[in-house]
Amino acid sequence: MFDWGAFIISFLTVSATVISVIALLLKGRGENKNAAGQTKIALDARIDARVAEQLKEAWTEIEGLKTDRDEDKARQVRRDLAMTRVLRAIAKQWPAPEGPDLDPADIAEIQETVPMSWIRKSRSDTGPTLTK
Amino acid sequence: MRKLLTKTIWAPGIIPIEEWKYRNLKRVVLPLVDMFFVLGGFAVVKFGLPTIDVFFPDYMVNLGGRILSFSAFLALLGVCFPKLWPFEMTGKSILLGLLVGYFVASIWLTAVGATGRGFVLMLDLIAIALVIWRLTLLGSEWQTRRLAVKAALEKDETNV
Repeated sequence: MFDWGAFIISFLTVSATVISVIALLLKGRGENKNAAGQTKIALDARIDARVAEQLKEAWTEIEGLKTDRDEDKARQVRRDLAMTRVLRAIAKQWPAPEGPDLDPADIAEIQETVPMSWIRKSRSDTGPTLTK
Repeated sequence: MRKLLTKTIWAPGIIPIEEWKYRNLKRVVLPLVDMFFVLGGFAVVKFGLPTIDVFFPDYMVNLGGRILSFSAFLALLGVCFPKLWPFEMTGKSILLGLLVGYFVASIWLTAVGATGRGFVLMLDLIAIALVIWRLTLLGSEWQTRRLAVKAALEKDETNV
């Protein structure tokens, strides 16, 4: 005799599994009809867009500042080299062998550009002695 | 190993901030429930299941127990590693089928005069409700993930 009990239980067991999978597929692959869900997704998208825009602006500003800094640095190097050339030219043309009388504090600021022979060695007690 | 641990539901930052209040649901309750289902499957294999024994031969009951353990284990994997959410969906769907089968068997026996199954029937319904509730959440999460990816792709296309 056919066992209807076992058949119905098996059938409903498999049916529940299949219905569950179909419902999940419909839910997961379907559009969101829930107002709160849609609002959240829209809000997330707006926040993402705003953050992306602000990041873009910040990066543009940072890049601009980096370019300015690089230009300033290059200009400074050019000025230093010009200063060195000018001072060396003056040193070559200076009539007295001991050179000009310069303030050690100023020399400390530009010591890389000053000819060694100009450093105030004989009066080291009046200020710092610069060495290279 | 450490990299694997960072992918689990217990790793910091895995639970979204808006779900923080319910973190223990995902970190404690769901893993425990799935673990108990795994153990339940072992118990069926070892000791049988009186309600189902009435309808099916032993080897079928054993098979049912093994399927229960296996599906619960799949679900447990999905709970522990959120990226394996399809495992949890599959496992929980099979679990739902088995619980519905048990429910139908209990109702059938009650209808033909067997007594004393009311409480177990209610417990089974509680388990069914829990599994259905989790499945609806999984469906919603799947949809949200998919729509978020879709929105991001659409935004990229507009930017290009």
